Amino acid sequence: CGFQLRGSQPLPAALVAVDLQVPPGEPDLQRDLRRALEARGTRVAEEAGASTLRILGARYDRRILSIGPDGKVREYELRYEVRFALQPAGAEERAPVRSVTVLRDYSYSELRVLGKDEERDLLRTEMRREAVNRIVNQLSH
Amino acid sequence: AEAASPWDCRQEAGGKWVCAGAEPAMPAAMPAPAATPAPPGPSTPSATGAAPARERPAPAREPAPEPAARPSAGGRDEGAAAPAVARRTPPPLRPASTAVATADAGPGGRDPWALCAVSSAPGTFRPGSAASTSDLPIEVSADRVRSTQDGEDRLEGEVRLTQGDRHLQASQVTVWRAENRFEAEGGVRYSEPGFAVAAERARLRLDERTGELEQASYELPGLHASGRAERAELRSGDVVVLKEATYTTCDPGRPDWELSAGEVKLDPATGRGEARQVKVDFKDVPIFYWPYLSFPIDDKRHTGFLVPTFGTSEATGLDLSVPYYINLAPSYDATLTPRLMSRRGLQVQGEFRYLLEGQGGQVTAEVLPHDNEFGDHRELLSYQHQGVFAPGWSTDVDLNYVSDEQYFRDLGNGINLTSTTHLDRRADLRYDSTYWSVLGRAQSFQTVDETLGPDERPYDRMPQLLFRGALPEIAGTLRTSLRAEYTRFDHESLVTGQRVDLEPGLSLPLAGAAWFLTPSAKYRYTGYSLDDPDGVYPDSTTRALPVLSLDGGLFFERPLAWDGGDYTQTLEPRLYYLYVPNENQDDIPVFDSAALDFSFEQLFRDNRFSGRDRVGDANQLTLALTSRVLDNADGRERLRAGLGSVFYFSDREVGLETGAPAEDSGTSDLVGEVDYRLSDAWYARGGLQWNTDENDMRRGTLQFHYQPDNRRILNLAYRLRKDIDETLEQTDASLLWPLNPNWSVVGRWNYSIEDRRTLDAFAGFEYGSCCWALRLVARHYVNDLDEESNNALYLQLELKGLTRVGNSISNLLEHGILGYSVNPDDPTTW
Repeated sequence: CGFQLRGSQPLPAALVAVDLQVPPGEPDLQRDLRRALEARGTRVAEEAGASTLRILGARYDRRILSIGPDGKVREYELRYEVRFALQPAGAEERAPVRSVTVLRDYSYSELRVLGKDEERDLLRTEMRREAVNRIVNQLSH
Repeated sequence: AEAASPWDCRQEAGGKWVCAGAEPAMPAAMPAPAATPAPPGPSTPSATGAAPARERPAPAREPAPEPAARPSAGGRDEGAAAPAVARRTPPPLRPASTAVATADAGPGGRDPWALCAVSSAPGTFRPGSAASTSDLPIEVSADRVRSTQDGEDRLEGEVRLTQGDRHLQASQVTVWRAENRFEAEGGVRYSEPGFAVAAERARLRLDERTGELEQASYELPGLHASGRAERAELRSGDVVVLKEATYTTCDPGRPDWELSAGEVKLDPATGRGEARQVKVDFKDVPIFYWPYLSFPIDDKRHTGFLVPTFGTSEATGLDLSVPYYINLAPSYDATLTPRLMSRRGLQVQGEFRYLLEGQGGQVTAEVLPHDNEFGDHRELLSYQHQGVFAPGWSTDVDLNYVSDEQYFRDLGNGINLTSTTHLDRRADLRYDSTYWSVLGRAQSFQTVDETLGPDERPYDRMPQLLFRGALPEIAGTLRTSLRAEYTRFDHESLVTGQRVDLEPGLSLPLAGAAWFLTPSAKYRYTGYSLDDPDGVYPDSTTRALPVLSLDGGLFFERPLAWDGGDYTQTLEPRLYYLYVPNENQDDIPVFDSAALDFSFEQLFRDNRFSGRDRVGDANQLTLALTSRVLDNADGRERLRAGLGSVFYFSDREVGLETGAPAEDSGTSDLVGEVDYRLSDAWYARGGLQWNTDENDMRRGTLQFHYQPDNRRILNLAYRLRKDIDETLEQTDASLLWPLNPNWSVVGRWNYSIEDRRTLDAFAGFEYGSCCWALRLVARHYVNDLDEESNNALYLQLELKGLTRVGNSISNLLEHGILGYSVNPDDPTTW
């Protein structure tokens, strides 16, 4: 029905070399982004002619998704949003700010506080990786 | 919010006008000069002395709350880092008075002033350039001019003085040239861009820039404000004193609300305004009185009272808070708030905030010495600190204490507080290098749920040391990783112990444009040293297991013309094989493990338990198919759908509880998910977990969110979750919808189908006039298992440009209606 194996796509010029600027409070995001970019063949370095990928902010929110009849939390929703802008070298115009948002939900029990905290941390790691993949996908487009 | 009004002009010493926000430009056209006589009297300066509003007489106007300046903004619950803070030099702290409103429109982001007429009463307001007009000639016209010998010029009948955009009009003006002084009488009108005033009489000394106006009424179009003063005195140093003054942002002809003060003093040198005998009338009914208020009239921060707030609620009775803001230094401040609750007594709240380079924090304390209803004293203490303090080093501290388990239910508001069961007490110290990180953590909890017994309370982690690292890739692709952890778990009544967990791993990610294949191997070693008062668990035990997996997938794609755009649709089959041998783990207590929710993501995880105390045995193959629709224009994902299932080749013996029976099904439930985001205005999400053996839906979610703008929000959700011991089936609908420019409805209905019971429902309306807004919400909700449902009525009155009066209804709306924001356009949240 028209599906074909994906062909190899050349790296866009703006992604050949990238100066990655991530706020110092986000070392995990920095590591994941660097790895994902390098996996695409991008040189991550401050060098002449490199584009600048600025991460303007990354934010986690947690909200209560459902409560039980006893008024206690049964499910949480996690939301992770990253705002970024890729400024090609020498471009006059300021690059538009883009964002990706990843949503997840998980059940909660006040009887498993640490276990559910561990699950939340795992989800946060996965959400960050998905956000990174989506950022790199958008940029390679 | 109007800090940068285009008419924020002031006159410099040389008489030059400096305007913030407006480009200085010469007036395009001078008003037609009907110059009968030649300009008499003073050549310079001109009538600009009659500007009693060089500093805006905006009583009780506070700087907008600035959440971004809160170092832990958005991170208090989740402990997320605040990167924006780390990158910038400290932004100015602001009073963190959530009760103080800005002039923003509340929900909707609409123009809050859409319906107010402003330029009706005095003067002629001419929007135009606020250029440097002092160099311009003064055009004068009058019916008669008389000059006397002692240097007195008298202009009579239809006197007009015009200089650029500035106009003075009166029936009689007397000028004493030698003294640089003049007096205007009879229908005095003065206007300049951004300011207009009418008075019975004006006496002005131009060189000293002093004078007084009697029976003045003024207008500030930039602030949508107007008012009157019996007397306005211009004192030296640009100090303005208004006697018997009023202030409103309503239509001047018909002020629905009005602030009046016996005296208002505005001192631009100190940046302070002071008001005495302040009274606020709403619909001619006095609703507020305060003998003395001190407020800032510039963007600087000053010590002084913030606008008091009051309201009523079932739990507290009448509730009055009077925040006092203490500006200690540019990078730290404090707010002290006495709060009087008629049912409970006097509480004192204090908040101290600080912001350093890259880090910041706050201390909050609340003390209620004697709660009349509760019969005892009650306290809250809270400390947050986050940030990077040296390259690579960061801390995250969150310490909380409340005096009793009902604290939030009685004294807090909003579901997020009343449903709190545990308060975190945690201190993290972390070091990050390029390839590895170390985390040291001390963590305990305060349980604020009286239904939990001693054995049901969580373990403390005192301490947890965690190393995560990876070497640079070897031979291009071979990846290494190491996770190492030491934790000591402490508990009052349960088995305690120390745990060492080591997890070295190797993986070889291979990939081409259309495929990927990742074999990986991990080795998990966990050792325990236990101390069990009941003697059930051994003194020490170890567990060592390999975890082997093979992950592979293909990428197919095709172009897709859909909905008028060019898209690419992908088809991504994926296989995941996992092998973990079975080892009996019944002699290991559960410190930090829980069963992970079964979900699409779970199909590709190497453990079905969170934490480190259980390693699920596995010999299983996941088959999954994902399809995405990507917008060729911007690469964004419009649609994603995934479906998958796990095929088990052996029973799962390892369970969370000792003696739990093995799971013997040959296949897992089928899980599917759909995420559809057509535009920024709406998205739909669905999830399904289907048990094929029993043909039964175990989990189902459907969520729809529509928000074309900040005034219109519609949320619909259905949730079903069948766990072993409990079934949850709920619907949740909420909306914010405008009926017409004035009226909006808000509502939420969260219903438990399983319990046939409404969990949380509220309905109400917002009425927004051009200068005030009223929100009335009735709520019916559950907040405790044993208690009956509660009913409450919330009322909030917002006088735009002045304050918000009432209890935290916004908190309720923001948590109940996804997407609702009191300040939707607040850019400082980023």
